[in-house]
This record gives sequence, structure tokens and C-alpha cells, in this order.
Amino acid sequence: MKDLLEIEDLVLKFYTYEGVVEALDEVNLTLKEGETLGLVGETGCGKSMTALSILVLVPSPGKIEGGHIFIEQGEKRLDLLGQKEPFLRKIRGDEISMIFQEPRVYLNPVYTVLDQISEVYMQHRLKELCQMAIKEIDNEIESGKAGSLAEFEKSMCRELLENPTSPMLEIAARIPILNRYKRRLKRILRKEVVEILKNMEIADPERVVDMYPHELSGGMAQRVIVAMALACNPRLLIADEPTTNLDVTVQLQILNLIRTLKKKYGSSILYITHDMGVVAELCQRVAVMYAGSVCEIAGVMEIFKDPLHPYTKGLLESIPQPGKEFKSIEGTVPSLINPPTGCRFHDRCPYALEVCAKTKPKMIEVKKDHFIKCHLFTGDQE
Amino acid sequence: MEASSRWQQFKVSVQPTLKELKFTLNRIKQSSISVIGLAILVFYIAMALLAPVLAPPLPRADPYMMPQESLIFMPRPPSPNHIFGTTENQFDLWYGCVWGTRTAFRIGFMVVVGGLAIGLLIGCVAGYYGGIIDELMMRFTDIIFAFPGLVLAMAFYMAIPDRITIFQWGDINWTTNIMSLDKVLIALVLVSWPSYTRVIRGEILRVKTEDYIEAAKAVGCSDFRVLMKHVIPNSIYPIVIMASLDIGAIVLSAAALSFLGIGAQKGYSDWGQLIALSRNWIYGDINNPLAYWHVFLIPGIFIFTFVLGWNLLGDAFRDILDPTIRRR
Amino acid sequence: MNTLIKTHGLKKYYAVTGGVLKRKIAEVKAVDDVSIEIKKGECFGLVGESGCGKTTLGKTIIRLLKPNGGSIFFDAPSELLEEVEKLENNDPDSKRLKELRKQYDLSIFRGSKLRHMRRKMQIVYQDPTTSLDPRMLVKDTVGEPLIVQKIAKGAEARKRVVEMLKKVGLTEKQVYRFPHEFSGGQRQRIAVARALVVHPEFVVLDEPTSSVDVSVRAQLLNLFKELQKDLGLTYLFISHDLSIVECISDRVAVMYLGKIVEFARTEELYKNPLHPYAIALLAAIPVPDPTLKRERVILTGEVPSPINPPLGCRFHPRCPKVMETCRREEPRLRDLGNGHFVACHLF
Repeated sequence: MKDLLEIEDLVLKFYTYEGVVEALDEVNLTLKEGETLGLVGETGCGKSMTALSILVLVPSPGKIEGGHIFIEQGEKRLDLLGQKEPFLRKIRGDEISMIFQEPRVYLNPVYTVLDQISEVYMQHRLKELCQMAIKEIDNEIESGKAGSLAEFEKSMCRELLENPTSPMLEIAARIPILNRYKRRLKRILRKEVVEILKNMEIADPERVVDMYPHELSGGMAQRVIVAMALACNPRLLIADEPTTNLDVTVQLQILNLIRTLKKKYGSSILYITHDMGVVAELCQRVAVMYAGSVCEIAGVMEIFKDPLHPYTKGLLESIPQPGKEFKSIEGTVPSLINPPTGCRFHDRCPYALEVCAKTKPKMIEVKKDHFIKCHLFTGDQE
Repeated sequence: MEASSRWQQFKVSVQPTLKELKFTLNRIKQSSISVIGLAILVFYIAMALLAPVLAPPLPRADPYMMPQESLIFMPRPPSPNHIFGTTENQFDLWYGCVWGTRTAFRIGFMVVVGGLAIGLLIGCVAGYYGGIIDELMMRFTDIIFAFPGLVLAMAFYMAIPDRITIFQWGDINWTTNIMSLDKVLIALVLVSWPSYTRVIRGEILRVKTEDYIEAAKAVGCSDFRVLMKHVIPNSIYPIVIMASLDIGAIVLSAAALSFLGIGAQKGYSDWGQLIALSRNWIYGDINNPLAYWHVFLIPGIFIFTFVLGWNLLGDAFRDILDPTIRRR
Repeated sequence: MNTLIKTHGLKKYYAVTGGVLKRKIAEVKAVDDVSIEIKKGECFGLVGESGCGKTTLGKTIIRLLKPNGGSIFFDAPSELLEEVEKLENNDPDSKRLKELRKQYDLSIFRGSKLRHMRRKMQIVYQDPTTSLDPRMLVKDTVGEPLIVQKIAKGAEARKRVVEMLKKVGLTEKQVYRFPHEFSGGQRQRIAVARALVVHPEFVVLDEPTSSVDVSVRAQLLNLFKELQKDLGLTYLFISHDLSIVECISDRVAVMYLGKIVEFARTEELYKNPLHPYAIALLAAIPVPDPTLKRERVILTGEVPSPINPPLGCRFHPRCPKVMETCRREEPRLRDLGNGHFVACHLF
């Protein structure tokens, strides 16, 4: 499988009053086309920041200070961090989409579901919409059912197709009689949105389309967000803990939905979570993050069968099992303002060596397709 | 040994509050407008404290009454004897401005404290208990709110008697005079409490639903304790901001009332009084309209900068104490 | 084992007001006719999804909310409980019942009697960030119960506070800090210390591990187990995370829309769930084992609103095994032996 996205040595720092927070410390990650990669880690390890960095939407006072994020665009390999804002805006929503944890917070409370999904559509698929409108008008003219202003509408739609920001359109939009062409577009748009919602397995989409976010339940709101994210068939879908706040049965429904949609649209998914169970259900490869850097990447079977990094081992062991004692990892996650020197896990690691406190380990491929960042393995490379 | 450990305990116990204070001071230092506001206020506080030194009062006279050299009607321009000149009836402007600082602080603080006290009481009870008590109190507050402030203050001023009996029993008769300035203060208190009530009630409604309030009740706290120790300390910050902004506004209102004729007694050193005395002199001769500029401009500048200082400080407080942008 | 808490027909309804005069137009039946028995020294798990009423049930049992009906008997000897059971079924208005209720029934306690009872039952909330007063130092937060319950004050109180904090794994130096200076796991420990400083008998743990990190959860669960042994506590462990409940509880009850639909001993319930909702719930837990392929029952639709619950069995619109009786008649909890109770017409 080809690579879709490659993050190389990403460094992210936050400049706050209390000091400089070294949020991401040389993160290395690759995502192949068509696969589901799980990004696992605890709170504060930097998973959400990695996702936001891919979209170059890091909130201030954060600054990306180093590294590259390469994306494959046809034949070319572009570095997203070096691109200008207009290009990035085209990519966001169209090629890379993101869904978040708390669905109702990310929906604008004063716009209906129709308005919000339409906005995404209009931003990225305007040409398709116009072409559909023109085709419809042509059909009507052929079958003789065209109204008197059909030619006019057609010319307006063609104008919109070729030159979306022309002044003529601006003027026409404000004159009540001349902006009739918008009605047809709205009608087509509504049909498309209802179709999208039906694909999301929302019951009674005609009714849901006119609802406001506060009238939706958690599961439905999350489906609407997924609908917005997939409205433009993105190549990469980033899901930042989308089911953490949902009930277990609703979570199952959403996971199933994501699986079906992935098969249908063929997108790659970067799934961020802290729940190893969900990872086992959904992902094909897994990356484990700790305190700002990725410490292990491997296939999902491999990670559960043979976890190599001490943190991954500790994480898997701390999952509560009935009848057995609860094992936890000693100590607490370090503050990233003054992170430990060398490997950031060394003060909690039961296998720490002397070198671990001094130098940072590099990412190496210790087995086929099994990468690890740990001094225990730099000696014996198989 | 016992004393030193207690002192150490005290030091340790006060450390987190000190840390927070240091953080706040740092934030104040960072924003230049708050430094300017603070500087202005420090200047005025110094002037108020050093009033007896800067403008020594005449012996055996009420220090707040401005000295009159003579009773000539027309004001005199600044001269070596009178640094700011004199105003109508020869009241010394410098003396009036310096001692007026004390009066300004007194007006500001007393009205704000009085308004806060009433507002807190009514707002707390209304917000915490809700229901019909809330409805009744809020409607009463609305009624007071509906009147235009200065007009209502004037009405209250007229209604307060000059002399009241505190205690009367048989032959013992304990009365006191209420000075004109005090009447103004009481009137302003009665007019300004509704805004505090509303703000405090809003904050209490928000804090009431937080988990830790319920946790305090689960532990067995009485309603009073929950109010005093949990609800009020967490809802008091918007009031602090409002109060500091208000001190300036109140002084301005008092000056306005003075200009309209309701203010301190004649000859009292009060900036509003000085503006009132300048009423006849705002437009001088035909040839020289600004002949008596010192009579209204100087007290005007004092009022202006005083209110500006409190406004800047209030703004700075709001930016600093707002928990959402505090930790940037 | 002795019974610590026995509820009978406990009800908690919330009125929905509407219209200009704010009249009651509907009722949210958050807890509807729940009768459970919690034995001394055990950990009783309560699971269900959001909106099923488990938090409301927990808070009602310790009287943070006033129930609209039913009774809660706290620490009554078993003979008296049997008597109460008989009287409630045969002669609900007897004077003897009223007497017993006055002595043991929490739902009618008021005023200082209730406040005195609060010493014996405490709660640990889900989100430690909002359950601690952000303007109070740790020592004041944990010391407040002692002062309010008039157990100790001054130096004596401070000693007990430090003792309690050491038990939950914090140090003495940390008493002089504000909550926001701690991590989530530590804040939850402070909340636990506050609940336990008065040495209660019964503690409601309302989803205590949902807001903390995965690696900290195991530490907290260990802490709960230790403290239970150490101080002889009885827990009501409310959670929507079934895997955690499986590890820590002795008996588990499943709630749906305000009613208990099944309860049994933990191993029994997880090995052999009977109610269709319990089966679906248990099957929906994601298991951290990618090799496992499971038979999944995916429920259609969402949890209906508790304002207008469906008639008959409340689960019937979503039940894959629904029958005609389910639409008309509400099933009652029936004892199927071995301490396993189910409320379903299939049995």
C-alpha cells in the first residue's frame, strides 16, 4: 500500500506563562492509503495536537517549530507545513476531514443540520451542484416543462460554475426576483443532504434535516458530524475520540457505521483514542504515544500479541481484568514544561538502562513493519 | 520552638495565596493601561493621605471647609498665594482640590460598599432560594431600576430629613444632624444597589448548580455555611470588577448632583461643589470667554483623571480575573 | 451478611413545567419503583447507559434528592426488615410500620436527624474538577466534613486530615495547595479523602474513574479495594463502563429507563445474562483482543426519553425478542434462583 501521509520529526511548543510546554517531541508517523491507523495514548500525550498539526490548525500560543508533514497528491509529495493558507483551506474538509469528541460543541447552535452540512457542500462541491442544476434545467427544457425563466436560470448556474465570485452574481443575489436560481440549487442541495443522512443510518432524515443541534441526541449529533466530514469524500478522516462520550451501545453503532463507510468511500482513517478495546475492534495498525512522541508502531495483531515497548506493555497490563489484581504503571505522566531528559519514559520504566536518562532513542524497525523507539532494542537489531 | 513552627506553618499556609497574588501582579505589570490606572490611583491616594501637609487647614476650623480669604464675589486667577486661584466667594481652589480628594474617596467607597451590602444580601437570598422569593425580590429590584437614576436620587435627597431622632425615651432625646453630603450618599446608595443585585444573582444561579455545592450539602453543611463559604467566594469576582468601575462612576454622579444644586454644604471641599460654584463663570466676558478657566477646568481635570484611573483599573481587573483568559 | 440498605418501591420524579403559569405538564420518571438490597461490606455495581437513572438512584439513596415515594431502610436489623416486608404487603397503614419507618426510613428524615445521618453515607463524584471548590485549599476541603459534623476541629482535625490524605496516597506538604495544581487522578483522591474522613459506612461512587486516564484507573481501583478492606466500607459503584464494574463488584444490577431489569452475582451475570438488554449491553463492550470475533447484537434506535416511557415493558420497542405481552404488561423482577433476578416476560 502506498503512503498517504508521513509525519517526520514534528516538534510543537506552547509558550505559556508557566513556561514552554514541549508538547510534541519529534513525532514520526506514517499512514498508508486505505488503512485505519489507531493513535493511542493518555491525556496530555499529544494525540489531539498531532491531529491538529496535520490540519495546521494548532491554537496559539502553540508554534510548530520543526519537522515535516508530507502528503501524497497524485505524483507530488507536498509538505503541508510549508503551504500557504488558501491551499490549506482547500485541503481542509475536502481531502482531510476531522471529527471531534463532543459533537454538540462542534455544531453551531443557531444553524440547523441542513445549513451546516450545506455549508461544507457549498464550500467544496459547488461545481457539482451547478452541473446537476444545469442538467436538471436541460431535462426540463427537453420535456417541455420548463418555466419561462429557464434560460435565465441556466445562464446564472453556468456563471456560478465558471466564475463564482463575479459581480453579476452578487447583484443578482440581492434582487428578489433575480435570485430565483438559488431556489433550485437549494432544492437540489436539500435532496443531497437527506441522501447523505440516510447513508449515515439516521432514521427519518427528512425530519432530522431541519433540527437544531440541541434537539439531537449524542449519537445523532455525532452522526451529523460524521456526515459533515464525509460530505466531500475526503482521502483522510481524522477521528479524535469520537465515541468516548457516548454510551456503549451507541458507540457500537457508530463504530459499525465508520466501518461501513470506510468500505464504501475508501478513505483512510486516523483514529485517536485511549480505549484499547476500540483499537482492537477497528484498527489495522496502531501507534502508541507517550508524553509527546510516538514510541511504538505495529500492526494490531502484533501489538496485542507481542508488545515490545515497556509503556505499551504497561498499558496493556493495566486494563482491568476480572479476577486478577489491578496492575498499574508506577508514577505519573511527567509535566511537559520540564520534561525528563533522554527518553521521557525512563523514570517510570521498569527496564530503564543508564543510557535512557541521557539520550533520546531513535525510531527503528525492529521487526517487519514493527517500529519502536527504545534503547533496549538499539543494541540487537534483528 | 512552638512559636517558630507556628510561624512556619503560617508561612506555608499562606504560600498558595501568595503565589496567586504574584501571578495577578505579574499580569497587572504586563498590561500598560492597568499600570497607568494604578499610577493615577496611587497618586490620588498619596494626595489624600498627605492632605494636611499639602494644604494645611486653618487652626480651630473644620479641615474640610475651604478657607476664604475674603468674600469678594469674583474668582481670582492663580497667584503665588493661591496656586490654583480662587473660585466664587474666594474659596481657595488648591485647598478644595486637595481635600476634595479625600471626599471623593469617601463618596466612592461608602456608596459602593453600601450598595454592595444591600445588593449582596438581596441578591444572595433571591439567587440561592429561588422560587417565589426570587420573583418578589427581583420585581422589587426592577421597580427601583425603572426610575432614572439621578432623578430618583434627587427625590430621595429631598425625602431624607435634616434631623432624625435615634433614640427617644422619656427625657433622653438623642438626635443627630444629617449633613447634606451624607444625604447625597444615602440617596446614591439607594439608587445603585439594584445593579449589584442582578449581577450577584446571576453569578449565584450559575454557581448553585456546580458539583461542589452539592458535595458540600452531602457532607452536611447548613444552607448558611454553603452560602458563606462556597457560593459567595466563587461568585464575588464580577462584583469586584463592577465595584471598581463604579467608584469612578459614583463620583461622577455625585458631581452631577452637585452641579444641579444637590450636594455638599456650601464651602465643603468637594470637587462637585467646586464645579457647582463655577456655574456662573463658565462663560466669562465678551472679550475673553475663558477668563475664568481655572474655576471649572482644574476641578474638572481632577474628576476626569480620578474616574479614568478607576475605569482603567476596573478594566484591568476584568482582564486579569476573568478565569477563561487568566491562564494564557 | 447483614443488609445495610434496603429500598422498597423507590421513586424519583422530576416535574416538567411549561406554559405561562409554569404548571406541571409532564413528569420525568427518573427512578421508577426500584427495590434493591445492598449488604454490608459488599460492592454493589449499578450499570446502565446515560439517562437510565443510575446517578439519580445513587443520589436519592443518600438523600441528596428527596424521593417522591417508597422507602429506604438504613442499617435495620434483619428481623425488623422481614417484619416491614410483611407489613408493607398486608397492612401498609399500620401504626407499627409508621413507627419502624420513623426510626429507620431515610426517606422521611429531616433537619438535624438527616444531617446527623449524613455522617454515615457519602458520595464521590464523577468529575473531580467540578466536585472540589476551586477556591478552597485541600486542607479546608477535606477538613470541612469534620467541622460540619462536629467531630473535631483545629489541630485534631488537621491530624485526621493528614492521616486520611496519606491513606489515599498524597503527602502532608500537599495540604496547602489549590485543586487546580493537581492532576485529575490526584484530585479524585482528594475527593475520596473528603468522603472518607468522617469514616462513613456507605459510599456511593458515581463513575469515579470515567474522568481520569486509563493508567490512573487501575491505581484508583486498587485504592478503593484497599480502603474497603481497611475501613469496612460498603460501596454502590455506579458506572457505564461494564469492564470495570466486572472487576470490582460482588453483585451487579442493570438499569434501563428508571427500572432495574436484571441483577445477579457478578460472575453469574457476565457469564449468563438473561435480559435482552443486558445481553446487548455486555456484547457491546469493546474487548482488547483483536483475534476475538463475536456475535454482536446491534440495537436499533436510541434510548427513548424518560418523559414518556413506552407502555408495558420499557424495552419492547428495541427488543429483538419482543412478544405481544411485552407491549401491554410491565414485567416484574422474578427470582430465578441463585440470587439471579430478571424482569422479562421471557421468563
